[in-house]
Amino acid sequence: MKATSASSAKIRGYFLRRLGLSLLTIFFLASVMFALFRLLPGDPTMTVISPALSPEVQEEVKRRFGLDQPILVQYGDYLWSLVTLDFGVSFNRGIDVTRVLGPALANTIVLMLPSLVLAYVLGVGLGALAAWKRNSRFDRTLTAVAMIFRSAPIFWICIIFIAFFAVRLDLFPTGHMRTPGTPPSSLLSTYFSLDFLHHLLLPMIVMAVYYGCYPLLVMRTAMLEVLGDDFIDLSKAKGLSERRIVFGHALRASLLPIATSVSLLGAYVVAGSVLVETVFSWPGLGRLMVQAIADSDYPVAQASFLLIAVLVVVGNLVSDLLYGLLDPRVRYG
Amino acid sequence: MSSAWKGLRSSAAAAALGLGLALGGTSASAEPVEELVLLTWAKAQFPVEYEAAILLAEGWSQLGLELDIQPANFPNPLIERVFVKRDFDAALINFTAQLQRLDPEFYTYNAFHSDRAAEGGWNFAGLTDPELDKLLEAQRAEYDFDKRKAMVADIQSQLNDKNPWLVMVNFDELQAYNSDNFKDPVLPKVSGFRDAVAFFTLKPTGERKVVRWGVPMSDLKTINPVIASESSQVRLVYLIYDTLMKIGPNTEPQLWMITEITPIDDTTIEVTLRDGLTFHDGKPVTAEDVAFTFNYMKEKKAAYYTSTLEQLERAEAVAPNKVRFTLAAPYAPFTTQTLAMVPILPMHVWSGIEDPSTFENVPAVGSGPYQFDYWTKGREFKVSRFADHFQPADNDGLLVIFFGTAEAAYTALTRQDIDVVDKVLPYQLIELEGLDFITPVSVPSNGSITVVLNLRNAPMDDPAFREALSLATPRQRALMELFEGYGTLGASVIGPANEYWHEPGVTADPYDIEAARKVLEEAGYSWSDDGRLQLPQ
Repeated sequence: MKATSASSAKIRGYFLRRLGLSLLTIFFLASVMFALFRLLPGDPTMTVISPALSPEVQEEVKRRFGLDQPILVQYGDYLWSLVTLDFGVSFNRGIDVTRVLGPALANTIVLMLPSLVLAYVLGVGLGALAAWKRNSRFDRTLTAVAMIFRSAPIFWICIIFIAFFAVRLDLFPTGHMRTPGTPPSSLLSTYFSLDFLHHLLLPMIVMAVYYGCYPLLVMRTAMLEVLGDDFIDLSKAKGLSERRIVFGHALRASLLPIATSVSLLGAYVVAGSVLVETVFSWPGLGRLMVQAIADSDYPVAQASFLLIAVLVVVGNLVSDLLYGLLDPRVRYG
Repeated sequence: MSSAWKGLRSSAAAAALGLGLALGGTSASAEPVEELVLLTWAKAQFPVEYEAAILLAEGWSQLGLELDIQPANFPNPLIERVFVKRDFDAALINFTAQLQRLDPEFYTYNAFHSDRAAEGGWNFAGLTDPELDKLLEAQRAEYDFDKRKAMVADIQSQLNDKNPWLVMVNFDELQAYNSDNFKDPVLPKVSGFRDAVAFFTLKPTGERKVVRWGVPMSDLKTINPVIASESSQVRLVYLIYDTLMKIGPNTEPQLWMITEITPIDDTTIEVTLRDGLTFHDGKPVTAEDVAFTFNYMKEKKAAYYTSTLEQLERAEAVAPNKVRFTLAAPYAPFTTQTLAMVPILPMHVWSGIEDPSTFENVPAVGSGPYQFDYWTKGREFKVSRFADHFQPADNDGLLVIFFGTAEAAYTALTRQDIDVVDKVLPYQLIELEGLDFITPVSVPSNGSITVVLNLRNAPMDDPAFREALSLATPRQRALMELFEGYGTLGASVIGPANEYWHEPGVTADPYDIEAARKVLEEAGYSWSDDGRLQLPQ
């Protein structure tokens, strides 16, 4: 009894520590972002309104967006707005930033999450097989293909997939999230429809194949190490089936480095979403961010940067906690 | 800081030159022309403008000039450097084709009056010429078209001699539509599908009744006419909102929501509204609405209309169908430009909006041939036919589809997924000519690629130097290499596409390095031993 409560206190302590660190990271990132946006060349009010502006209009805009305040006051306002999740009003849309970002974030997540899961299922499975059949033609081909994908830029892979599967074979639409001409509907029916699935499939496959190469290579290496261990020989001696040894024993023992790779790859996927969304005309956060930067719509750009940073930090946190669960040795040290 | 740096560089150059002279022993110590800053657009954003700068640098370097090509991102920081800091010696500007720029006001008074040379004004070149100013003022106060035309012609000739701007190419607008699905659109000269009327008049031939237009942008930013600040946003505003006047298909001013313009005196204009105008919510359009719109736009400093409303003092409804405008000074563009630009708002929607900058305006209520249907953010924007309009659309509506890249929109056109693309590249247009279901469109536009010289800096203030630069500008190469010949060689600031106002007597300078060097020589310039151009002694 006593032991359990001590250990649960330990767990709580570990969790709180990790959470605190994550929050600190986000605060640091938010501050860097604040500084970076103000270091950008050019006056943001130049583009909020037509360049042929009268000085008084410009002053009015500065006042409205708080740009006439001293920098420290602006920084304080900015931090406070983060705490209250009030990101202000978009410079050129006239509506709250949260209303601009919300749908885009949802669209990004419905694309990223399934892609990431599929990437791991594919990567881990194939990686384990490749290791088991080391130096076979299967292994060599797979490793070579994975290497090629790993070293190609993602937007190029996307274009190749679109050209072949969508344009040539006409199996998928060339882009977008729904068939054009679909009237707006509730969030639920937007995502739970065959039409949506049809549009999701190609970008998801591209991302899964592309990003799956990383866990594949990691898995293969880890597995090769494990396969040399004594307990594998023992399992063989016990007369267990090959499948049982690979997927039952060796795979489980090789999962540790895979768990670490989740947060790393998650960050990659988030970064890559900018390109994937652009090529596939997917109405997500990445595309919104690029446009916001090009338009100097600082409130939107800042908030979307921050959201992406938060996504990565949260991913890291989750993977840290997972790691602890998987390997008792590192648990809550 | 930058000027200090410049000073440092030039003294270093002078020192180096001094050394050269001591060794070479040539005549007196002529100073070389400093390296010129050539401002252009970021390559990834606007490859054509960037390449134009490279071509320009090749031409000008034949005169012994050194150039520092500085690409900058549009809009930021490019706009600030051009409009505020005037931080360039020569700037390559893409003047986009816009209907609102057909009235000579934009390319004459707006761009060259000394008033506009101050910070924030459109007189980038910084030309200040009291004689020309008088003429610029006179033309904008002249309501008689023919008399005004003669003045505008004179202005164009004078500008051609003074060379503050070197127009390189007046490019064509390249567009395409699916003529299997829709036929016979009215394609206005100078704009084609950049004008809403082209969409209104697409006639369905079969099943598809709603036009699909692919646009390479992540989303429409706003449908609020008061905060819309760029032409790309305003174009969509005009699908839903009507204007009192319209620029007709042959660039002629046309009465649209009004049946009559009655000038009372030089600064008072009265207009009479058409009968039976209605907003999309069923309420009638009255003189009250019109007067309210103009006053509201002026009061709220609506970004896109601020400059065109500059001369307006007030608008008032003097009868249920008559509006009277009072101007601060005689202003001819008011009828041809201002009335064709300002979208009429329903007073019952807007009178309660104190701060239009935080008003989303969805659903937008206007009185144009299309009415707002829906807008799914980041995906598409739909408008449908408004049957009660006095000139209803020929199709059932328009679906604006947002694409991640221009290439994706182009691919969708070739797959018949969409019907209209309003901007294609020259090589794509050539490819499209091979598809029998596509009709490629190439309309001469009033847009141009122009080199703006900064007359605030020496030696750009010297007319002879500017003339030499014009002669060393490779216009023909730019037209052929950057636009595959789709356009005309740049000459007058008002291009030939704007038939009514263009002065045909102004022709493009040939690319003639010999002549350019001769002009420089006659003006006292010389060359150092290593071929660098030197200022007159």
